[in-house]
Amino acid sequence: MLSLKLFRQAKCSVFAAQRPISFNALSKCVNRFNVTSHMGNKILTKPLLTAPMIARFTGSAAAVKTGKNYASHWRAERIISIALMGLFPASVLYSSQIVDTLLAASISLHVYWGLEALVVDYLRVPVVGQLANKAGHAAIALLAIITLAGFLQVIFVGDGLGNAIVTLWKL
Amino acid sequence: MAGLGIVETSAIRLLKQPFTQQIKQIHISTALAASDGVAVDKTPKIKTVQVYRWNPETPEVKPKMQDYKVDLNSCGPMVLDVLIKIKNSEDSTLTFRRSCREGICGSCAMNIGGVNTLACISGVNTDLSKPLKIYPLPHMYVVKDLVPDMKLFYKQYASIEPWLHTDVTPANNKEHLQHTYDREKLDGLYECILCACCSTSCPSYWWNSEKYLGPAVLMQAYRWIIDSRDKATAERLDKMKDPFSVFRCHTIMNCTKTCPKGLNPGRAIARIKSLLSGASNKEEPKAIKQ
Repeated sequence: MLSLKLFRQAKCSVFAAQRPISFNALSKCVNRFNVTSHMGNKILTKPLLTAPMIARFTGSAAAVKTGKNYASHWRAERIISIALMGLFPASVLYSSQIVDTLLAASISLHVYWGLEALVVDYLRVPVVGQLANKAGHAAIALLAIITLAGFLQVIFVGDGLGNAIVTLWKL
Repeated sequence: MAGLGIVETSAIRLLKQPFTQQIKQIHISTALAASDGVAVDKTPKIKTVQVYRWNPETPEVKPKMQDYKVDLNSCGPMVLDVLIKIKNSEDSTLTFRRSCREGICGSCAMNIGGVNTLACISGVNTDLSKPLKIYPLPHMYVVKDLVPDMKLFYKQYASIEPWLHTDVTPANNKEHLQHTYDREKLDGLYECILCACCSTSCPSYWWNSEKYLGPAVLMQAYRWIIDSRDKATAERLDKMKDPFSVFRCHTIMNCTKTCPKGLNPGRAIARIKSLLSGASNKEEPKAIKQ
C-alpha cells in the first residue's frame, strides 16, 4: 500500500516535470497528431465524419496534453462494431471472398481492441510491471494476427467464412 | 394573535396554507399520532452494525470490521443516525464525515451494504437478522475508519477548470444571460454534489484513477462543455481526447446505478465521447429577446 502511494506521488511529480517539456515540444506533437488524424480520416471515417470536427481538433493547439488523439480510434471501434452487425448476415447470405475478408478483418480488429482494453485495465504497469504489460500487448497482437490468418485460410483455402458459419450452425 | 391558544393559531396557520401543504400537514399529524401508538411497543430492536475500522496511529494493526449493537427503537431511521448514535453513546473513536444530514453536502458518502450512497439518506434495513455493513468508499486511500482521501478526486475536479470561461462582456454589464432552452440542458448535471459515490463505484476508475477522470468529474466537465455561455468548448474537449481522460469509460453504468441524487453520469460521458468523435456538435446559443 505504501509503495503504491509512493509510486503515485512519484508519478505525479514526473507528470508535473513532463508538462513544460511537452509544451516546448508542442509544434512537433501537433504535426505528428495532424498526420495520424488525417490518416484516420481517410481510412476509416470518411463517410461518417464531418470535416469541421477534425479541423477543430487539429486547429487548436492550445491544450494538447499528450498529443495522442483517441477520438478517431474510438470512432473506428464504433464503426467496426456496427459494421459487424451487418457483416455477419451478409457473409451468410451473399457469401463471397470480399465480404468474408471484410468480416474476418472486422472480427480480428474487434477482438484485438476488446482484449487491448483488458490489458490496459488489468495488466497495469504499477501492478504487474512493465514487462508483463508489454508481454500482454504482444500476446493479444499475436492472437489477433493468428485469428486473422486462420480466417483468411478458411476464406482462400477452405470454402469461405459464410459457409463455415452455416456449417457450424448445422452441427 | 396574542389572545389565541396554541390550537387556534395552528388551525389558522393550516387554513392559510395552500391545499397541498394542508394535506402534508394532516399526513404528518396522523403519522405522528400513529407513531405515538406504536411507541408503546418498547421491545428493543437490536441491529448488528459492522463498521470498517482502521487507525493511522496504529498502522501495524490491520483494518478490521467492528461489531456494534444498536437498538433501532431509540435511534433515528437513517444509517447516519446509527453512526452518530454509536459515536455518541458507544465508541467516540469512530470516525466519519457528515455535515448536512439531508443529502445535499455529500460528506457522508460511504459504502453501505455494498452500495455507494449517502448515509444520511439511506434508511436502515429493519430486518434484524442481517447485519448492516458499512465500509468507506471503495478503492480510495483511507485516512481513518470511514474517511477516504479525496485529494486526487478534487485535483481532477480542479483540472477540468469548473468555472465559466468567456471573453464576452455581458450585454447589460452585469450577468451572462442564457435562453431557457439552453439552461434546460444543464438540468441533471448541475445538481451533482461531488460525493464521489459514482467515481468510486466505477471499475475503470478503480484501475486507472490517476489517468481516467471518473464519472463525477466528467459529468461536471460536460456541464461546462455544453453551457451556452462558455466559450472554451474546443479547449475543454481538446484536453480530453487522450486515451485515458474520457475513453477509459466502458459504459459499465455503475455510476448511474449508484448515484444517490439520481443523476446520469454515464449519459454525460457518452455525450462527451460523441462530441469528441464528431458524431454531434455543440449547438449555437439561442438568442435572448430582451
